[in-house]
Amino acid sequence: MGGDVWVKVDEGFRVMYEREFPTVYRAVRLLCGDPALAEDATQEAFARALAKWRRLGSQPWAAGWVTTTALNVARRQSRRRAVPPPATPPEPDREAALDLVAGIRGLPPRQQEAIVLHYLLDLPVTETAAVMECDAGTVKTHLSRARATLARALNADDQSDPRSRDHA
Amino acid sequence: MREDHQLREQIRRSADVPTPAPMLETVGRRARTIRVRRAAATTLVAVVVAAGIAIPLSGLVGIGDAQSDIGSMGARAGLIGFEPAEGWAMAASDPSHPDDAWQQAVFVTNGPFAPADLEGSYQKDGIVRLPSGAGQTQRALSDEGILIVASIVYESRNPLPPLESFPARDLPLRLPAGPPETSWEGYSEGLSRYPIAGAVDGRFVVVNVYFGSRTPSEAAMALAQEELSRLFVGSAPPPSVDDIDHFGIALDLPSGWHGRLYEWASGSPILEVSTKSVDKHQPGDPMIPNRGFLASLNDVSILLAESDVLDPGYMPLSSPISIREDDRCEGCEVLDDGTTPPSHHALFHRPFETGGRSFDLYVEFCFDPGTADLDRVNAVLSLIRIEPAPTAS
Repeated sequence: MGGDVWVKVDEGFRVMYEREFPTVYRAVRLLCGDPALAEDATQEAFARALAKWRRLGSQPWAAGWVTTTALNVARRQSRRRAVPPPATPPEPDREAALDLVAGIRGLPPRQQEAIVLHYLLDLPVTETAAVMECDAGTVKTHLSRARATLARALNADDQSDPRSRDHA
Repeated sequence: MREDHQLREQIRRSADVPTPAPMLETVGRRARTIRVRRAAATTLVAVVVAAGIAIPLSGLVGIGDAQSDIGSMGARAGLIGFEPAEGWAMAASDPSHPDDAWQQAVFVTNGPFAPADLEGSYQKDGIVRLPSGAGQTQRALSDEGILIVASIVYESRNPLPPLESFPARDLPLRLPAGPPETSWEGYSEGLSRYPIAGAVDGRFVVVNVYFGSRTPSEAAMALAQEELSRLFVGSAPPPSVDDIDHFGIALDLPSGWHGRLYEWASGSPILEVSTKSVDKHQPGDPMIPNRGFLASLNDVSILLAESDVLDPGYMPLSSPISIREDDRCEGCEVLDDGTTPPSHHALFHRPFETGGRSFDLYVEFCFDPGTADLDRVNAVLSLIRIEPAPTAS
């Protein structure tokens, strides 16, 4: 199969795709929670990147562009899908991670983008700003507010969760 | 800084899940669809350039070399072709589906077709069919070599839109004045060409005349002009403003609504419906028709575009076509056209699948619609009939 489909892919794109696919997928999965939706959105975002690779390929933040596009696609499609519940109960050593995930998913979309681009993709603030089409100061504001919200959420969970007191 | 580092590590651990295998081929196929749509939507010039080399050519079966027969067969089997002439060889593409017959491209050259282009070729209706176009022939043109590629790039039963990119032209076509182009998207090394686009007998036609030299001789230009004069194009049936029944999509336009159903070569069918006349759509306009002309509380535009990919994002449709409040899509682009609606407009997007075909439905209001407004549009949408995809034999 495949011989009947003409696919010509720029080598630079191929390298970026194979290198960044796991990160983009994980970013989308982190925020949407649905593996199938994350995979579809990631593929769609890379396809859109390939379609405009001539302009995008020279940008240092190409992977960031793909990530935000994938997040937008996922958000759009998630409104049409019921997100499945977690298949298994959380394990104790995953509780903190789940609290963080829940906290991130509760952030406004722009703060989510800033968190994912800066912390998961490791983009500097200036490149995060380029991807988000805003200035660096705005990115810093998003990050600061997101950190504060996450800290409040995590602290609140610590104080309200009787298990955390049991462990103490 | 330490807290920052900790947060980074925590986020990475939280996101550390197994990943599926990348599927580059799927991405490439989808990207091609997006490119074609964008080209059709915003830069018809790009379609003009691509049309000669990007006609679908899948599903062909080769029966061997036919070089000696090229040019001697009946050339009028298709909607577009060249009258046979000594010294010229002609071949054509063969669309994979009978409904796509209008997408045929024809190739004539004053030299031999490259063996690589003839691999898998066969004859049908007296014309040699090239499974992969004439790209290798183009690359191998001698200094005096000429290759002409002609194709119809648009199909509709409705009047042609008045596009500046396709001025009305009469046959025989003439080579443009001035020097030929020496640089274009695709292979152009050592070559030159004249692209000619026009509306000929009710059809949008694109012809590319390639020369094997960047500075073709006067003799080569005269020879190319002679062959160009042998081009024929089958006349389109008289168009109708309300015949919305083509490509397995049909709609009886209600009073007060306007529509157009069309397909660009290498694209997919698109249905435009609006309370405003749809004949103003120009290259570079947003894909949604009449966005700039929607003004009153009765104005609505609809765009239904078939997608040539089926993916889980297209949910099965079990009831008449409609939009719902949940389909609001703030900040969305229509078919990735690079534009978003003005802030006071309301755009709805519903991707759906029916009968093995997938579609993107967009509806744009120039105001915030209420239930009655959605009902009014849904009454029109419910009139759209879509035939199932043909089953593979």
